[in-house]
Amino acid sequence: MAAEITTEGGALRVLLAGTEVASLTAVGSVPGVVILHAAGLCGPGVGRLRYTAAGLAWRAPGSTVWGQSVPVGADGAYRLPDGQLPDAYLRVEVYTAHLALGSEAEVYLADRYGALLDDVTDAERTAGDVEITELALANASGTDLAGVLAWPAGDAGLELSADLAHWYSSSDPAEACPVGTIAAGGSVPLYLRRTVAAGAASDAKVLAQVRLSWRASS
Amino acid sequence: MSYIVRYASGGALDLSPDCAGAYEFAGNVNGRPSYLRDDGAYQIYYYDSVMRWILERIPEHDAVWRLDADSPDGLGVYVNAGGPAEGWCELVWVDDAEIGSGGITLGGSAEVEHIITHAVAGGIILGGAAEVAVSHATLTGAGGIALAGAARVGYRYTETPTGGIALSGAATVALTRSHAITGGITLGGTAPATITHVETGSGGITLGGTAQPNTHVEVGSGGIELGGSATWSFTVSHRPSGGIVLGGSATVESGRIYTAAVRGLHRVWAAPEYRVYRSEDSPPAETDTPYATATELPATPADTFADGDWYVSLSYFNGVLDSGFLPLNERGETYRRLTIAAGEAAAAPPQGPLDWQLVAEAGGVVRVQAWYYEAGDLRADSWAIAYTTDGSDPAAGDPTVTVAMQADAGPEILSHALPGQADGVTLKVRLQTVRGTVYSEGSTVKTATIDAAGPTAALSADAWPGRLTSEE
Repeated sequence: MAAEITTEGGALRVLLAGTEVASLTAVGSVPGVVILHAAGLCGPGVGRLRYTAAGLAWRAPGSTVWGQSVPVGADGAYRLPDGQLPDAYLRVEVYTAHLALGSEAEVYLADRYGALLDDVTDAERTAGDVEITELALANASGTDLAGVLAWPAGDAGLELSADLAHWYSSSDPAEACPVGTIAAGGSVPLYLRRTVAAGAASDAKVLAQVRLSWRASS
Repeated sequence: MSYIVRYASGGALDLSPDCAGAYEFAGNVNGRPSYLRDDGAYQIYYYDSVMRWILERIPEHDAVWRLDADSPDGLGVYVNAGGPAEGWCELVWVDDAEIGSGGITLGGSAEVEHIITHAVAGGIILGGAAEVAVSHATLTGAGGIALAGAARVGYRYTETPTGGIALSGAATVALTRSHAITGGITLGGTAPATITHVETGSGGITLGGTAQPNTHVEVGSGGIELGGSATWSFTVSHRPSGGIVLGGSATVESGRIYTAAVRGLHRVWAAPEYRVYRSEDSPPAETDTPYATATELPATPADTFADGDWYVSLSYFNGVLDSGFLPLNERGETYRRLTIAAGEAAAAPPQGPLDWQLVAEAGGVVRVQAWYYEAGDLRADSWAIAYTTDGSDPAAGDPTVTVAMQADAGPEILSHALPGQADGVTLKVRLQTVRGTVYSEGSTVKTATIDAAGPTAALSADAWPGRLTSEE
């Protein structure tokens, strides 16, 4: 894997049962480029991907600024930042023999069911349910990630904890769950607690989000 | 800023029964601040020859009191300095004061441990070794906070100090959770700062010397500027538009803040069910509330129907999504009609033709072509054709002619020629189906103008000399 994708915003991977959480499904690309991962910060919508002489560039849904072009001189994996929010990136696999200069494509991103939490069954909804899901925050880079914070967002009413003792439910980053430092190559657990009240209404589309921030040398 | 002589007793009371009151800063005397009561009747100052603070009456200067302990700025308990009467009085800092445009100024070794104040238009200015812990200040004025020398400020919660916060010398600031510091924060000399949460200060943060802020700052458009050997050990997010500028040997210990999100959808399931809707006189709407539900079909809702024409619709809820009204017959209609009369279900009318047309034929004949299909007890047994030749619409339920259907089930085809009409007649036709005496509803009228004359006949094709024969 190319070094470009394990630094900066690409350093922190969120794993569920040992597999990286794929928040978004991506459809569409330019020739010679396979989308491996769309960062959750991209959000659903239509982004654009283009290949010019300067390299590959990505513009996330809702963004008005193309990200800096990334030269792709060799086959391999690359990280393509958005121009407005660099952490809204794409990780792609590039096959240079198939690249077409001047190509540009729409990339459709959509939220995925079951990417983070499973469905609430009728029995769980009727009786009420508390479910704890364990995520792993893995540092894929060669340097420590310091000051890692996590806080919930979305409409799932999540609570987060790093130790199963202290739970954080505020969507205010100032009141986030402190995760601490993740050593290079290491990982730490992050627990999600979902509480469904007894007799809750059915819902076809509940969005659960976990937001993260950390400090890393650049 | 005010002091109050809050209490006096004994000789002090005898000597100065009215010394209590508010005292204002009146400039420095002998290198120390002096204070004058609002009405000018008393003053407090430092008398360096005896190294004591003095409270005396003006103009007599006949009351001499000294400070009992070496308390900075004259705060504390005073005792009689040798006069005829024993006694004491107490000076206190005005707590929880709302101070006007004059602001708060501390000099020398002044120390104020706690201020809860509002609207300090003149700001708070500390000099020398002044020390102040401001726990909740709403600084709406332009003066801001200026610290010099070894001044220290523990600043827990502030809002909008327009003048910003400026530290110099060894001044320190512990600033937690502040909002909208328009003037920004300026640290100079060796001033360290503990800044835990600052938002949207357009003046930004400027560090000089060895100033050391840390933790979490959200900085506004002013950006962050480091000079000298200032170090930076806090996290920055939201990318201040003014950027971060480093000068001298300044270092930034931490890189920028990165953010990420993981997201996913899930469902909250309920039990699946069929939902039954009903409405009188017209089909129900999908936005109506179902009047009954059932886990499987067929189902018999418990609610009864009053006399009238009812329309019943059905949808299927799979636990999270509703199908919308389902088609309930071969015509795709999303309702079934139910007629209740005298508490009994009456037969509903048959459905009309699925499609029909008028076809002009020779001799002023118009042929009615139609097809129909309906299964079950409601199926029609005849076609009912009503027509007029005077241009008026034929009435419904009053057929000119009826044609018996041929089949008891399956599609039924009608091909019926009406009597020939004169050229130019306007023929109007209404087609219905009928079961016994019950006619289908919602019928329409079609119109045909009779063209009985036809085109001119072809000329005779007689043989002429020289023509080729067909055999040739």
